[in-house]
Parts: sequence; C-alpha cells; structure tokens
Amino acid sequence: MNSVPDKRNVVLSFSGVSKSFGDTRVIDDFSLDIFDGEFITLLGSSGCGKTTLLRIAAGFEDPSGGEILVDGEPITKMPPDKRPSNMVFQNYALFPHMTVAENVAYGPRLHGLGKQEIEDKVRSALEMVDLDGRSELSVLSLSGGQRQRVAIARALVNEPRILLLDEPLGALDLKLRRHMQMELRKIQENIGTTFIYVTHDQEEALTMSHRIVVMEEGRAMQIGTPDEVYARPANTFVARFIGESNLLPGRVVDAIDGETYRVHMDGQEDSLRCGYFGRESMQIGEETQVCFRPEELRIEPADGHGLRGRVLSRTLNGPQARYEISLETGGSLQANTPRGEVYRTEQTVTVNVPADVGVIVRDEI
Amino acid sequence: MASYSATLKTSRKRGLLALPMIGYIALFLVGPVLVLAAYSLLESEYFQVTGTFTLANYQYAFGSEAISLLLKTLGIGALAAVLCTTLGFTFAYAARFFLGRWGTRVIVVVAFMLLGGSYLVRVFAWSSILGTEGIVNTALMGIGIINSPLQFLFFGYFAVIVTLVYVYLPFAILPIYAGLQGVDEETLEASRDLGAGFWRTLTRVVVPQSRSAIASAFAFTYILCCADYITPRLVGGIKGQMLGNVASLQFGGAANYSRGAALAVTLVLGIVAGFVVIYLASRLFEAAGRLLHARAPRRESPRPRRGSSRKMVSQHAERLISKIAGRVIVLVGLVFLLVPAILVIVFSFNSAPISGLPLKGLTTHWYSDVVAIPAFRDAFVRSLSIALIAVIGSIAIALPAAFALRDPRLKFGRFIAGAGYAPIIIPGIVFGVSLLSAADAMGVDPGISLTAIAHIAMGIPLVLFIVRARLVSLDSALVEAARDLGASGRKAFTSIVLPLIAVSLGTAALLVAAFSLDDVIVANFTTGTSPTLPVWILGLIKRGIDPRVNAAAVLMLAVLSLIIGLAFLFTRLTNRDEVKIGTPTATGTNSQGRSQ
Repeated sequence: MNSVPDKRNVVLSFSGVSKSFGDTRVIDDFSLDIFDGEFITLLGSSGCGKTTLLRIAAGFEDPSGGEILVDGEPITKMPPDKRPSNMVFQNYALFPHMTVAENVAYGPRLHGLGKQEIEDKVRSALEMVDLDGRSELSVLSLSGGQRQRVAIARALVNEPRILLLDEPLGALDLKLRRHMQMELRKIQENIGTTFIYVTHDQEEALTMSHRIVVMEEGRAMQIGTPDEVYARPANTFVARFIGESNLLPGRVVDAIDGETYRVHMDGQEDSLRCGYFGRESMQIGEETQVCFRPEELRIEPADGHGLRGRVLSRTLNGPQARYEISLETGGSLQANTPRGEVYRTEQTVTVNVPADVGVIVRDEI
Repeated sequence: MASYSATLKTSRKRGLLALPMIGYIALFLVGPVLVLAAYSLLESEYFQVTGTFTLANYQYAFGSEAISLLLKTLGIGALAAVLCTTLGFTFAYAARFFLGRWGTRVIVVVAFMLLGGSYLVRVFAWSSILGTEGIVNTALMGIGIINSPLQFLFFGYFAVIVTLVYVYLPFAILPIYAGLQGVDEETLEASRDLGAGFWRTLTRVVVPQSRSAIASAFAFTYILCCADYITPRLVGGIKGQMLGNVASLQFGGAANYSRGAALAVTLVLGIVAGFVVIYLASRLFEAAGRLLHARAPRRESPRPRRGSSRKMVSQHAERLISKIAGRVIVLVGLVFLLVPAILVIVFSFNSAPISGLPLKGLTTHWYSDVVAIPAFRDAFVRSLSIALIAVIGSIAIALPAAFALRDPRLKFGRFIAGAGYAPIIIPGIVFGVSLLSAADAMGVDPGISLTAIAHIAMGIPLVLFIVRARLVSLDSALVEAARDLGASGRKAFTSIVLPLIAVSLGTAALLVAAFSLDDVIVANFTTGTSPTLPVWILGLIKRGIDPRVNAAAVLMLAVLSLIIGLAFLFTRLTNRDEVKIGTPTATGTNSQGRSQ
C-alpha cells in the first residue's frame, strides 16, 4: 500500500454538524476529522444521513448547525464551485450532450487552463481509468462501467484535495462492482487523494477503506479501521450491522482493565474473558450481551465443554457449513464448522465458547 | 459569499420568474374576458357600445330563439363529442392492441393530421365533398343515381356533425391512445385467462384503466365542438346554425358587440352547464349500473368450461378475426382522416373550376393565379411575421415560468400552471371576441398587433408544457455536477441546461409557429382589415366557389406540414436522448435491495 493516511494532517473536519429537513433531524451533532490521503467510508442503511453528510461536504446542502473545515478553515458558506472537492455522483450525472473528452474537460476549461494543458490533463485522466481510446465517443454510447470511469476521471482531472463518492458502484452488477472496487482502491493509492466514500454495502466498506464510519440516524455509531469495526464492535448496532453476530446474554463479574472484563454467561460454569470497546465504562454486576462471530464458535458432540443445544438446520456455504443451534438456556445461535463435520438435525451438541474473542456490547442510544 | 443552498433558497423566490406570464395572462386574457362580460351588460347604439347598463342583451340571449339555438348547439356538440370519443376509442384501441409496432406509426400519422393538417383546410375539404356541387352529389348525379343534388348532404346539421367529427377526431384519438399506452397488455391477457370474454375485458379492465384519458378526450372535443363557429358557417348554412356562429356574426357585419358578448357568455355558461349535466348523468348511470350489478343473479362465475380442443380452435379464429378487424378499423379510420385532405390537393390541380367529379385535366394555373394576388402575398407575409413574433414572445414569457414551476415547493404552483394553460382551455371564439371587445373598449383597431398578442398567449401553454416535460426528465444532479466541477450558477445554466433543453425548445417553437399560422378561429376576430393567410382564405371560401381556394389551402398545408415535419424530427431527437440517459437510473433502482 503506497498511500498511508497522514494522521498529523487533517484535511476535512465535520465539527458538530447538524441538519434538519423540516422537523426531521437527519444529521445529529456529527464530528469527524478526515486525514490527508485517507480512504474513509460512510457506511449505513438508507436514511442514515450518509449522503446528506456528503452533500454538505460538497456544498449542495447547508448544515443547520456546525461547521465544515478544510485545513482548519471554515468553508461552510462556500458554494460548491469554489470548494477543493469534487464529486462522483450516484448515477454519474454525465453531461449527455458532450463526448467523453468534453465531459472530462468541463472542469479544466472552467479553470481557464491553456488548450494544450487541458488536452494533456484530459488524456492522462482518461488513461488513468483506461478510457483513453474512447475520448471522442458520446457518453450515451458507453456501458455502465465505462460511464462510471468517465465520472471518476471527470472529477479527478481537477486534482481535488478530496474526492467525494456517492454510492458510485450502486448501479453496476456484482462482478463489475468487485472489479471497480479494486480499481478505485488502486487509483486512490496511486494518487493519494483523500476519498470520502458513501455506501450501504458493508463488504465494499470493509474491502476498500482505511477507516469506516458506521452511521445510524444521523450519528456515528463507531469510527474505526475495518478490522476494528468487525472485531471490536463498540455497541449492539455495529455488532449486528457489520458481519453476522450471535449476541448471547451474560453478566459482568469482574473488571480486568478498561477493555477487558470477565463475564458470566448462562449455561457456563466458568466466567469468560471478553473485550469491551464501548464509550462508557462497564459496571460490575451489569447484565449485558456478548457478541460472537459464527466462525469463532465451535460445535462439538454433546459431551463437550460449552453451551448445550440442539441442531435446527444446516446450510452449506462453500468450504464451511452454517449450523443454527437452539440453546437449552433459550435463544439460538449460528456457528460455522468445516464442511466435513456433519451433525444431524435435532442432534444435541455443545457449542464451545472460547475466551478472549467475545466482545461485550451494549445498546447505545 | 452566498452558499449554494442559499442561492437555492433565494431561488425559491424563483416564483418571480413566473411573473411575466401571470401578468401577460391577466392583461391579455383575464382582462379582455372581463371586458366581454362588461360589454354583455351595456347598451349598443349605432354600432357602438355605450356606457349605459342594460339587461336587454341577456333578454335576447335567454329569449326562446337564442335558447333553442343554445340547446341545439350543446346537443350537437355533445353528439359530435360522443362520436369523436367512441370512434376515437375504437381507433386507438385497434392501433394499440392489434397493430403491434405499426400502432405508433399510425398514431404519428394522426398527430401529423391534427397538427399539420390545418383546421381550416379540413373544414373546407368537407364543404367541397358535401356541397350541392360537391364531390358526392356530382358523383351520384354523374352515375345517374340521383337527378338533383341531395340537399341534406349540405347546409344542415348532418353536414355539421360529420365535419365536426372529422375535424376533431384526432383530438380524441391522441389522448385516448396515450391512456391506452399505460394499460399493460398482460392485464388483458390475465382477464381473458380468468375467464372474461372480449366485452367484459373491454368494459371491466381496459376502460377503467383509461378512464381519465377517455374523459379528457370527451371534455376536449365537447368544448371544441360546442364552440366551433367556422364549421357551421362553412357547411351548416341557414339550417345548420350554431350559437357560436350567430354570436360571431354580432362581432362582424352586425356589429352588435353587446349582444354578441351576451351570446358568448351564455355559450360558456351553457358549456359549463352541459358538463355538470353530463357529470351528474354519468354518476347516476354508474350508480344504476352498480345497483343492477348487485341485483343480478351471479350465474356467470361458475360458467362451465368448454371442451379444450374446441376452445383452442375458437380462440385461434378469434385472434385472427380481431387482428383483421383491428386492421380494417385502422384502415377505415385513416381513409376517413386522410382522403378529404387529399381531395383538396387533387382538386387544386384540376383544370375544371368546380371541385366535382370527374376530373377534367391537370393544371397548375390555380397556383399561379393565387400567388399573383397581392392580398394573398400580403396575408402570407403577415402570417409568417405574426408566427415569428408569437414564437419569440411565448418563449420569452413561458420559459422562465417553466423554470419557476420546476420547484415543487413553489407557492401557488398549481395556480400559476393553471394560468399558463388557460389560453388552451378557453374556447377560441371567446378569446377572440374578448380581445376584440377589449381593443374596442380601448379604442385600438384590431390588426397585426392584436393577433400577435393572441398568438403569444396561445403559444404560452405549448412552450410551458413541452419545456416542463423536458425539465422533469432532466436529472437535477447534472446541474450539481456542473457546480461541483467549478461552474457558477449562470455557467451551469448556459453550458448544461440550455443545450439539453434546446431541442425541446425548438419543438415548442415550431409548434407555436404552426398553431399561429393555422389559427383562424381567434384571428378571424383580431386581424381587422389586415387578414392573416387562413383568415384571407376563409374570406375567399365565404365569397363562393373559387378554385383558387384549393391552391391557397394546399400552399398553407405545405408550409404547415414542413413545420410539423421538422418538429417531429426534433422530438425524435429528444426521445433518443432521454431513453439513453434513463438507463443507468433504471439499473440503479434494481440493485437497491441488495447487500447487508
């Protein structure tokens, strides 16, 4: 990886940004520092405010409160044509009456560059997205993936400090989307421009980003690297939203340090060491939930050590099989096993719950 | 430094852009109509409207003579509208469901007839078909079936109704076809699959889905037929009078504006009352139908199925029959729509001075005759200049308004749109006599300016409609993209929005020009002593049989067809654009449900 975000250098800041449409509060006191050269993803389901946040950064929406800063200078009142950012729109918003080259040249022409310089820039921007042979075509004759590339070239040709991408791969089919994820990541590494990427697709977020902002109801539920939000969810929402999770009830019995607690879980004799990465500290004796990923749990025969339960179903998922287990203590969970280990439906099994992998999560309001 | 959304907010005051249009409609449509209403309450003396209040005009207008004429007019209008709607539905249905890809092409021909076929030429065509020395009579006498001309063919309500149906049928076909396009063919198949026959499918599945299109086709043709005064004048004669005709004469030779105004007002009131009656009747009819339906014994649902082999045969035959029937209907309809206009063209080259059969010989001297008349050339030039003014004026007024109306949060948006569309809803005769009355009240002579004012007003709804439709299809992200790439608001408009609506604007301009060139109903009142081309031709027709009329009519047809042909080419350009721009959005919505 060539470009590593420079943590000493904050490019863009959201500082206490709020946004309401009528009575509906879409963004609620949102703060975030984005570093130079970072690929950061705003991840959330539709209506979580991620696109609004991006549009506020681009200057298409005014925040109801708070400031947007670039290099420490407020730009909240700056119109979009003056901002150091460019946007890749969800449906590309290519100008249908222009050729590929004219679309890309639109920005440079407005900035009053010389003819030769514009030509050079357009050519290298199109080379970057592998479209240099198609510059004279009408954008209407391009496929979805090609339109996508034109949109990227059209934005990047202006050498923005920040590139804003609003679900840019949403309109592509799965295969092309995968391919474009790699391409985008490669482009970002090569040019080192800060990317702010909006998506509802967690897999996309996990594969592409340096950091992910998991959003819900206009707030950041967790900000962290893909590994952090996956392995160390800060609350129930993130645990449920990212990947698949089993949330098992338990009680906090001992504090080891601020990030490690012992939890006693129903149906277990010994208490278990679990991590905790939430905002507020845990109280001893508190009833809580512990998050386990299906691949962290192991199914063993009935005489094994762990939670006892009964097999409800098995679904094959490539090299692994997914079991749904109904627990004797109530509730159910999902666990993965290698394909070869087969248990019958209704068979009694134990689910081995290892120490040091569970994460305590609480509902965060 | 004003932020982008702040400029949007001030643009919520974009309502100001609609102000010229509101002002224009208030000044040149609402104002004149008020003058007309005032005139209807004033005395006329020695061809002059005085300041004295009187109800005498209404005593006349509500007198037994005028009222019986009003009732006849409304009856004829309703009958013609019913015929237009049913025939139009039959034609549109056949074109939509039995013709495959050819359906749209047929409809393009119908639209071309409507827009490029010239109203006046179409009315005139029937006067030359039905007249005592017209094609039907001369042909029948030539073969020896009759000895003297059949009088009922001409100068009577029969001729009026036939001509009205002919002239206004395309106005019914087009909206109904558009409505039927929204009816999914699979719903018809589903209905048949569930056991409904052809009629049941038609009345329970097709008609309910296209109800609003049928209703608007009826309403439109009803207003147009009731308010037509050229048709009864040219083919109705003494026995085929309609109220509009009598009212219009008060603004012509009789020069009793007050009485004419009162008649025009009662005509409008009558049309409105007719709508109320028709509406109530249809509600009653529906209620009665529901009652009958509720009482009817339900014997039909468990109808025994016929043997499958027999059913397949009958279905095959039925499909063949409906295919043939559909083609026959469309063919007959096209012949009905096209042949009269073609006859005018044919007779313009006939050396005999009478438009009768058999044809004598081929000549072009009617054309040279007509072109040689200075008044014809004057009228032609006048028409072209008025059309040009109408194009410029209506675009200048309606284009900003279309942008104002783009904002869904615009206050009084519906009212503003309504004002813009008013000139197309108000019957032409009422608009014409209102403008004439207003000019009279101001002491202004009618002429080119008054006609240009009228045609600008009539062009506004066209421009507004076409440009708004285009703006709706424009992705608002395009302007945002331009702003994002560094364009100022003004630059984004000139470099993105304007080029993208240019084709629509061109189409609108051509349509306005065609409407202006073709208009005789309004211009007949507003041109005074300087007639436009159709008004001049109308004068020639009124003076009696004159073979030069055919030639003049064909020349006008040629100009109109040229303009409309261009307009059609233009719309094909926009359609191609829109379809392709639409595709990524369409696939975008497909992938919504994925992931997580």
